[in-house]
Amino acid sequence: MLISAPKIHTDLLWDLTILFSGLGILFFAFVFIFRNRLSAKSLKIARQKKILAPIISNFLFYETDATKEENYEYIKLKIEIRDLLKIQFNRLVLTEILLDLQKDLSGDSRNRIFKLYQNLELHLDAFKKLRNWRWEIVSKGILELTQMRVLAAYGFIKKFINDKRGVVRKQAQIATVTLKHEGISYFLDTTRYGISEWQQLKLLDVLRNFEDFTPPRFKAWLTSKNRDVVLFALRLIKHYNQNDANKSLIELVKHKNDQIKSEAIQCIKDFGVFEAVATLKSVFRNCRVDIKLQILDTISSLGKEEDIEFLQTLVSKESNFLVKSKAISTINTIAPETYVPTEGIDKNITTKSFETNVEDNSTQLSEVMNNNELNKDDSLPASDHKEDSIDMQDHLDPELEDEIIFDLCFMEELEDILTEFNESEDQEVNYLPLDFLPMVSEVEELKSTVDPQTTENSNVESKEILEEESFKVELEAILDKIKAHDQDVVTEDEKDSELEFLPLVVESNVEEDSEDLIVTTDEDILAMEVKEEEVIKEQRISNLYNKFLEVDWLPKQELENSETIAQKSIDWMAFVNESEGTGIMTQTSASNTSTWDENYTGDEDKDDNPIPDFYGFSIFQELFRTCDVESKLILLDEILAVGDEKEVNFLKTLKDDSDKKVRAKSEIILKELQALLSPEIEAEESIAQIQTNELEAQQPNLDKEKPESISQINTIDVSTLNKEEDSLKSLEFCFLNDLISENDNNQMPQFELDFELVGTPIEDKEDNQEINEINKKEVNKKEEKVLSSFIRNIISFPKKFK
Amino acid sequence: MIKKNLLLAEDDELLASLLDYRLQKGGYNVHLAKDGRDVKEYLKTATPDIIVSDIMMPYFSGIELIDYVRNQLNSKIPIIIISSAGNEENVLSAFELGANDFISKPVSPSELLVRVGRELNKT
Repeated sequence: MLISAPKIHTDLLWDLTILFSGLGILFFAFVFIFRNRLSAKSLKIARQKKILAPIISNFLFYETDATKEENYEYIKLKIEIRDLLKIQFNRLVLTEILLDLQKDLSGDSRNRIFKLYQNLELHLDAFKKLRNWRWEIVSKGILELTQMRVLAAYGFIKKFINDKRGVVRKQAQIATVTLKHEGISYFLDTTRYGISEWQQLKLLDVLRNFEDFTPPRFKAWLTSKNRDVVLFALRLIKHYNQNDANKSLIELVKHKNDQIKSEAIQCIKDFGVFEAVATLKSVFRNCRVDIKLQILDTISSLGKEEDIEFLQTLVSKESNFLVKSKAISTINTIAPETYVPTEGIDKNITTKSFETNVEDNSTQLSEVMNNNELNKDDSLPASDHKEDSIDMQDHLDPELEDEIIFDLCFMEELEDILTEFNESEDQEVNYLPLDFLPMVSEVEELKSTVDPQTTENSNVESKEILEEESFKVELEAILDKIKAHDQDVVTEDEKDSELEFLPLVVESNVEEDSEDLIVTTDEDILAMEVKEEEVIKEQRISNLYNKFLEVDWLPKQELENSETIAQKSIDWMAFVNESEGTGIMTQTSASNTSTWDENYTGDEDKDDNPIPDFYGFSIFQELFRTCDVESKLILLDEILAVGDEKEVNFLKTLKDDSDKKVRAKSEIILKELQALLSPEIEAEESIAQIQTNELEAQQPNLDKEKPESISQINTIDVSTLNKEEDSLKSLEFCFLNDLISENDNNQMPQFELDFELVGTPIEDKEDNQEINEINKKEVNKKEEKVLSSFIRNIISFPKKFK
Repeated sequence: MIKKNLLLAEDDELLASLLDYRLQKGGYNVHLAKDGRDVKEYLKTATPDIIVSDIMMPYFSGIELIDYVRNQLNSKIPIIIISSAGNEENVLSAFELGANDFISKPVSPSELLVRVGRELNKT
C-alpha cells in the first residue's frame, strides 16, 4: 500500500506566506520607526541641550557684581528661558541638564543648580509625577525631588514609606532620610515593612554623608516590634558608638532572632559590657555554633578568671571542634598559657631547666658554704654568699656557662693531678717533696727577720719581703707537718700547745715552751703575727674553698660530696702552698700583714689529713644528666676523643641507661676507649714508677735533713734541698706551684683560677721557663719514649682555655 | 592683557560647555576637544599654554595624551587631569607619565580655575 502525500491547498500556502511577510515587514517598520523616533528625540534633546547649556551656565555663574552688559545678558536669558519653559519638552531637557550637572559639579555650583531647579519651577513637574498611577513614574518623581534637594517634597514623599510597591517604598525611605535629618527617626518610627540589608547599607551611606548630623539615640528603637528596625538600630548604635543601652543590649542577647542576638553580642564586645558575661554564659547552650563562637570571642575580651571554670566545662563537654578550640583559646586569652601545646609533643622528653639546676645547686652550695663559713670564719656573713649565688643565677648567661664548664674542667684536671700525687704519696707518706722550694739565701732571710715592734711601725717595705715572709710561715707549717708525720700520733691538746702553726722563729725562742712564748712580750707579738699569718693562710684556704664551692652546677649526688671534695682540695692546696715556701728555712717575722683579726680562731685540725684522697668524676656525667638522646650520642663520640679512665667508669654506668642507642653506643665507646687508654695507663704507671724510684733515691738525704726539732729545722741547708730541685720537681708540682705562687705573688684575695690559667704574669715567666726546662730535662732524661696523655693534658691545659 | 590658550579635552559636552563658560569667564582662550582625535589634531596645529583633560575619553585616553605630549611632542606643557573618584591607579599613572595636577569629579569649576592659574604661574 502506497503512502500518498496529503493534499495541501496552494492558495493557503500563498496566504500564509503573505501574512508572515507582512508581519515581518510590519515588525521591521515598527523597529525602524521607533528607532528613528528615539534617535530624533535624542538628537533633538542634544540639540536642545546645546542651546540650553550656555543659558544654564550663564545662570549658574551669574554674579551680582557683574557688569551692565552681563546683567543685561542675564535678564535677556531669563526672559528667553521662561518662554522656553512653556514647552514641556524644554522643561524635560532642562531638568535632564540640571540632573546631569548636579552629578558632575560640586561646591557652590551644585547649590546654584538646586536653586535654579526650584526657581525655574521644575520641581512642580516632579510633584505631578508623584500623583501618577505608574510606580516607575512615581519613583522617578521621588528620585528627582531627592536629588534636587527639594525639602518641600519631604511631607509628600514620607507618605510613601509604607507604600505597598516595593520600589516606591524604598525610594521614599531613602528620600525621607536624605531630605531631612529627622527623616531617619520618622522612618524608624513608622516603617512597617522589612528593611533589606542592601537598603540598610544605602540608608547608612546617606547618614554617613550628612554634614553636621547629630544622630538620635537609637536605643529608642531597640524596643520596636519590627525586628528589622531593631537590627538596623543595633547597627546604627554600633556605628555611632552609642554605648548607653547596655541593659537593652543584654536583653537582646536573649532574642530569638540570631541576627539580633549576634548584633547585640557584637555591641557588647565593642562597648565592653562586662555585666553581660553572665547572660552570655546562660544563653550559650541554646545558640548556634556561629553565635557560640561569637560569645566565646566576647568572653575572651570581657571574661575574668572566674569564667574559666565555665570555659573548662565547655572544653570537657563540648563536642564541636570549633567551639572547643575557641574555648581553649578563650581560656588562654584570659589566663595565658593555661593550655599548652600537646599535639605532636614527644612526651618522653623531660626538660629540666638549666637555670633551675643552677638555682638548686647554687642554693645548696650556698647553704653548705654558709654553714662552713659560719663555722670557720664569723667575719664573713652568710648572706654574702647567698647573694652571690643569687646574682650568679640572675646573671646566668652563656659566658657564665662557659666559666662553669671551665671550672668543671679545671676541677677534673686538678683532681687528676692530685690523685696522681696521692698515689705516689701513699707509697711514701713520710717523704716531703722539697724539690720545688724557691731559691732564697739565708742572708735575705735574716734581713727579713725584723723586730716585731719595728715591723709594726714600718709595715710593708717591699713585695719581695712579703713573699719571703709568707714562705716562712708556710714553711713552718710544712715542717710542723713533717714533725707530725714523724711523731705519727699527736693528741688534740698537744696540738694546741705545740704551735704547729707557729713560726719557727728565733732559735732561743724555739727551745722554749709555748707557755714561755705567751709570757714574753716579744714572743706574744711574734705569736700574734704568726696567728696573723695563719689568718692569711686561712683566708687563702677559705677563698680557695669558696672558689671550689662556686662550682654550683654539680648534680645533687655530687653536691652531697662537694664539701668533702672541696675540703680535700683545700687541704691539699694548703699543703702544697705550705710546702712551697720551705726555701727560706728561717724564723718568721711575718710582720708584713696588714690585717689582723683578733677574733680569729684557727682551725688547728686542718692539717690532720696531710694527704687527702681524691676521686675523679667524669665531666660527661653532668652533661649527660641534662641532655637528650642525640646529645648523649654526640657526647659519647667526644668521650672517645678526649676521655680517660674516669670516662671508662662513667661509660660502665651507662650500661644501665634507659635508651637503647645510648646503651649500645656506650658499650662500643667503652671498648674503644679502653683500647685507647691501655698504652696511656702503662705510660703513666711507668712515669709514676720512675718518680717513685727517684724519690726513694732522695729519701736518705731527706731523712738526714729531716729535723728532729724546730731548731734543727731552722738550720736546714736550703742549698741542699735546691740541689734536688731539678731532678725531683714533677710536672704536677710545677703546675700547682705555678698556680699557687702566682696567687701569692699577686696577693690576690681569691684564687682566680681562670685568670691564672689563661694568662701568666710577667714576673713569673722566668720561673715558668725554669720549670719548663726542668720538665724538658725530666722528659728527655727519663721518659723520652713514654708520652702519657696525662702529661699532654697538663701541658696543653692552659692552651685549652685561651 | 594676552589671554592664555587652554585646551579642554572632555567628552561630556554638557560639563565641557559649563567648564568652557567658566574658564572663558576666568580669562582663558578655551579650545574644546570632545575626544582624543580632536586633541591630536589640535596639537598638530597649535600649542596651548595648558591642557585640561579628562582621563576617560574615546579613541585617545588622557593617559595616552600625556604620553603623547611628553614623549612624542617632548613638550612641557602643564597638564591637569580630571578623573572620576576612585580612579587612583589612573591618577598615579598620569603622574608617573608627567601630569602636573589632577582634579576629581564632581568638579568644582572655581577650584579648576584656581588650579589652572597656579600651574600657569609656575611656568
